[in-house]
Amino acid sequence: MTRPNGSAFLVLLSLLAALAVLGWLLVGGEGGAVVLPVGPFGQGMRLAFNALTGFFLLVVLLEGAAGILVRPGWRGMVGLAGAVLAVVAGDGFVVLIGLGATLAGPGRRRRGIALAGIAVAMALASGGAPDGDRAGAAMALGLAAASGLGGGLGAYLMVRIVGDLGGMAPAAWSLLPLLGGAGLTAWGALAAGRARRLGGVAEGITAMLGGLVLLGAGLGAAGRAADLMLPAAIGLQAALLAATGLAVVAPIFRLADALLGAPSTLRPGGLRLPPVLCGCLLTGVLAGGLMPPGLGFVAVWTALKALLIAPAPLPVIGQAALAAAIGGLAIAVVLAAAAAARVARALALGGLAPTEGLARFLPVAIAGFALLAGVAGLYPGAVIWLGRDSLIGLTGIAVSGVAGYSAWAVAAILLATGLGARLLVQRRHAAGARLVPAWMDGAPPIAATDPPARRLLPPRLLRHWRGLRRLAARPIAWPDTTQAWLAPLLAVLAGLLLFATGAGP
Amino acid sequence: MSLLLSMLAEVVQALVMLGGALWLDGLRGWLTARLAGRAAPSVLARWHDLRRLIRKQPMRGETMAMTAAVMPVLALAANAGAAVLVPGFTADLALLPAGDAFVVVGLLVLGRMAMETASGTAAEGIWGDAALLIAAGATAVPGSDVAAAVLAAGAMVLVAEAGVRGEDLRGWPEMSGVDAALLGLAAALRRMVLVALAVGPIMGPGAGGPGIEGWPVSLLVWLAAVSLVTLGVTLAGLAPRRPARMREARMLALALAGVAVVVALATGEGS
Repeated sequence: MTRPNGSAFLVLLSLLAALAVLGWLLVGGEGGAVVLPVGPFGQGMRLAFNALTGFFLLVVLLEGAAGILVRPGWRGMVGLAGAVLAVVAGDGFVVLIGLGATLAGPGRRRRGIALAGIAVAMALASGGAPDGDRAGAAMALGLAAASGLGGGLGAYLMVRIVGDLGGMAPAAWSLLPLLGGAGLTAWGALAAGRARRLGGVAEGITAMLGGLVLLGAGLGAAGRAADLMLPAAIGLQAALLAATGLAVVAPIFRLADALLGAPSTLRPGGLRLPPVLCGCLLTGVLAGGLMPPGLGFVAVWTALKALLIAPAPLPVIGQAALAAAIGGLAIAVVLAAAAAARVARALALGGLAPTEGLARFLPVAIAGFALLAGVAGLYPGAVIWLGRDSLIGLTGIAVSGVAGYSAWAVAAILLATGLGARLLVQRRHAAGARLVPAWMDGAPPIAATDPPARRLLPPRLLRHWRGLRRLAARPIAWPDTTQAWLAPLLAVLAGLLLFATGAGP
Repeated sequence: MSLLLSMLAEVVQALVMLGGALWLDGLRGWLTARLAGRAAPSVLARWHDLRRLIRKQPMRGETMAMTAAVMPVLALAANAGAAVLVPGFTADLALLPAGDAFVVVGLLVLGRMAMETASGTAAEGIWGDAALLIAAGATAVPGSDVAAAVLAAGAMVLVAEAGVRGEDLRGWPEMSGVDAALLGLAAALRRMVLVALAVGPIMGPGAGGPGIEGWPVSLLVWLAAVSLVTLGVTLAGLAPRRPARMREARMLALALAGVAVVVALATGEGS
């Protein structure tokens, strides 16, 4: 076990590196590449840094720093190093090495399968210029595997795959990630609402935002294939906004889970949190619940705009896919709001967990991430501005920030109305409310809200839903943990073989 | 001058939405009582109820004091935000560029979340909000056919009808005093926004022409349309129906909104 000092040092290093990358993005620095004399014979290890790399390095570093704060130890440190290596990788070999290193972190089985999928996709795309359908299959498989990988690294790989293969693949292949992204977004929102712990809520939100990135990447790929660069650029804007959410919103729930002693969403109660901390957590709830003026809402809003902007040149099946994606997003929004209501009530439970070591910094970290989430939600144009060079590189056009939605104005309206109502209440009732214990004078005890599935489906359908859940929960014999390590190992070997035969992408 | 006019229009819109929400609620109560053969309350009864509630000290369970204090305020703020952003009697509203129909629906979703959190009961209407969002998408496709707007408006009317019935049946039994007043006002504003959303795609703003000269006519036409939709929704709401059927009504609205968006995408002009 690594001593907490090592983890603290890496957290500090990550934050400093994130600050440096942010500065580099702000000044619009020049990219570059370096070849290290290690790796396959004659090839070396190529590392590259450009605008896209810089943006996602920021995402990965922030996400990784939060991960180490929640769970200090060597696994998190190696995982973060692997993710950084995979982002700055200049060739497939380094990508695979970096992805292999991320297996040290949590979720090895899922990451192992995702890595195997990415390796197969790379193999499909390699070997000279791939024809359209081969590139399309590689893109669809790669995007699916990258979405399974999750987090900032998965988001980077999705956008990168669109950049590398989006122009070569026929538009029909892009419909798969488009629909898959909408489905994953809705599924993530449902999972966040079903979760019994805040850690599970964080997982659900990560899946939901990953789905949004996948949808945006699918839109980018479809737009590039159909030569509709405006929807492609706006779709990729949505992907960048959702990726930012992965860096700053999901960590709030992970940190809160560690700080509040994992409160159950089933038993809300009466925690006296400091008002500042409560405000920070509510900022996270607003952003993760896909409600205005949070960061999640602006990502969904941008994705919807991109879906609606270019229907006419598409064939009927394309339009049907767009309609299905809009439906999926709408359902995701309401499910996320239901999850947010559940979490907002759960935040009022229990006491703060004992804090020692790195955990002492958890409230500060939550406040920091909430501040970032709030700023990104109110200034989505700033996030898009940071990724401007990446978007121009991917689509060839420059699109200004979020036009038609002013988060600042919406926040100001909410603030003004809320303050007005608050003043009215205070003026009428200077003494405040009369506090009563549960069941006294008719005040009922606090009850949790139902899980979303029970509210969504009629009882008849709910029975089938439970059956499906039982089916999905049945254990799968393969792969177990050992075999999950074997799969990426074989994938790395396959990648090395491809490079040795000069068939690298 | 133009900025001043648009700000004035926004103030008028806010006042009309607030007054209209309470008046239409009272009108609905009056109509319901008369059609049931009972003595009808005043159309201002809703306003008097709220004034009475505001004067009462709220009673909050000590385990949820902070949530109970914040969430009714947030619910009112979100629904009031939706009320000033929804397209109304004129297109010259100062705050209209701040958000479109998606933002209005997003604020309604935020308001519903706050109501749920405050009252501790799961509010009905998840499917209804999804239908609203899809219908808003159908109206946002540039150059789409009027059929899409009609279908979207139909979906919105269905959601409004189901929402009105649902809130009538449920109420806010766990809230008291000023908290209940804030939630009641938020719910009334929500109903008004739903009706305004349904009217918007069909009628469009500014029936009396551009400029301040056209405002009186635009306002009258818009209010007449809103009153008609409210009347229809109220009459439909009088039909005996089990509460479980309201979920099916919302799912029907979802299907209608889905058809609307398909029609809009098929007939839209694109970028």
